[in-house]
Amino acid sequence: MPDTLREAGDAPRPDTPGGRDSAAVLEVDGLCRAFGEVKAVDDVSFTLARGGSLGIVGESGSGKTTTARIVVGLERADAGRVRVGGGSGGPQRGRAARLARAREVQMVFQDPFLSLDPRTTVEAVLRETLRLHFPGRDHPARIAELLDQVGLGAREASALPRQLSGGQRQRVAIARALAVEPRILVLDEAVAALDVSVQAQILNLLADIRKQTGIAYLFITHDLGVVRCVTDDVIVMRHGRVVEAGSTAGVLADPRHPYTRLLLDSVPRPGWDPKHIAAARRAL
Amino acid sequence: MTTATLIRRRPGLAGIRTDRSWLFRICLGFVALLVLLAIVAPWIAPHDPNAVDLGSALAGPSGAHPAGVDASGRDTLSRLLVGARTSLLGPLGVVVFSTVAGVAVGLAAGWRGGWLDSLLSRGTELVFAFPGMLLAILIVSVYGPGLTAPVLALGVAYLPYVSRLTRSLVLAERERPYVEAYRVQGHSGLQISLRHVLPNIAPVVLAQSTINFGYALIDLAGLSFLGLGVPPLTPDWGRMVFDGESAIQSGYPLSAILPCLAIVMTVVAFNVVGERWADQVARRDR
Repeated sequence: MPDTLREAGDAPRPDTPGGRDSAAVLEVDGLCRAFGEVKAVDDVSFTLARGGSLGIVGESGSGKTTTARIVVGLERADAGRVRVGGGSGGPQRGRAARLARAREVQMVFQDPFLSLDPRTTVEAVLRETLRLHFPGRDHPARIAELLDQVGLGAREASALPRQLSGGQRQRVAIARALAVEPRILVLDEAVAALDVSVQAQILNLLADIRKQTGIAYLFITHDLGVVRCVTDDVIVMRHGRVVEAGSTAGVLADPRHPYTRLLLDSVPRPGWDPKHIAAARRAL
Repeated sequence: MTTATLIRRRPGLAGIRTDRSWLFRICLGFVALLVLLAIVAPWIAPHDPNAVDLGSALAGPSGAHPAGVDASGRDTLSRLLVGARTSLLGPLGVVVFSTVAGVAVGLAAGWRGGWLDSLLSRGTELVFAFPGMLLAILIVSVYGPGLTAPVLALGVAYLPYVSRLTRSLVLAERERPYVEAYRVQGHSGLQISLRHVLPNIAPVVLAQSTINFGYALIDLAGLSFLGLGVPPLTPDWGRMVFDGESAIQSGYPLSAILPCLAIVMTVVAFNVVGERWADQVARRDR
């Protein structure tokens, strides 16, 4: 049985303080971040349930990536709180805090070619992460297990990133994130750089992994088709603000905010008129 | 960013085109041969480099002395071979010191940024402003002859070449997404910079150091030509040019021209090899 399966299910983990809402692994409350005059993120709040999957949708510049970067700790928030698991959410320093944070949240980046060190083989990437987080465990066995989990074989283990296809590279990036055994996986446009058939494979893989491990997804994307596939809930962001939130099926079937409707109408299909969309955008 | 343009070369040598592979192969072969000869010099040298035979002073090439004899009656070929050791060992010291220290300074400045960057960058620019040769002459005149003092002085003088290059490479490298990916994984900045950033920028830095080797060789040869640095009896190319001065005046230029030729060819060879390596790295990045 893979180690990650132990994290599955709804059993509260011992490090979760009692009395709190243990169903949520991530609570974001009133997050703000400004770059100069531009408010990239403006009063954003949402909750991610344990083992749930939340999509953040919006165009480029809507603040979704900044939100994700604040959640994983790559960016600092001007105001607001990010509560990850049982953590206090405040910025902590030191090795223990850093490792604890990494074990809560992991991230898969948009471009799998850039997010892997070009000089490190697949196996070495995973071994390095395992050494950092789980010293003294049987690493070769765990590496084989992780590769198997993301659908890669022993042949790819010794490959360098440039010897792999885009889909394979993204599988490596996912395996690297899973190696830490996080409770939350932030996927920042994780399939946007892949072509459509590979996108479908990766989305299926992600759905399977969530079923097996009970990991929670925070899915940042501009693609409504992706949201429909892999998320339970969705929030729609525009100009740094949340304009609509709800269950994915509900929001997509019955969008309340004109911007959400516009996003839905912008997906090309038979009888689709780009001029009409442009006019609707100007009207908004 | 093209890595090849970051490499600093001196005006006179920057004109050598290195995109011809035969030139690179010849130069690489020459460097390899030179290193080999320097290593085995004491065993293959036909005569003791310091054996004086005044009877055949200033003799031309002959069976016993293939490259002739200098004004003091010493065999030129033997002095060239044994002198290759000193002439290569000195620049090696300069390059090792300047590379290690320069990478440390550049990495710290580029990675940490902020006040440390300002401090280190201003500091190395100060060293840049001070001519390396003058610094070396100053130190030699204080500490007396010996190879260590000028090597250290030139090492300090060459440090900014390496530290500036390293800093700019680190600045570019740390913006790459894989660095953030490692941060999210929980790796410390020190770990990321030493284990991932450093190996990724190392080829370009080593290319610069290879070019620096040639320059350090000229500088050290210049110092020993001036009679500074290498102790008098030690065979050394720069020293040989100085000793050969009187021979040129007497109309027998061979004992001065040969070490000059050795110096020039070695410097050009190191330049071509280093530049070519930098080009190859730049091409691979694209």
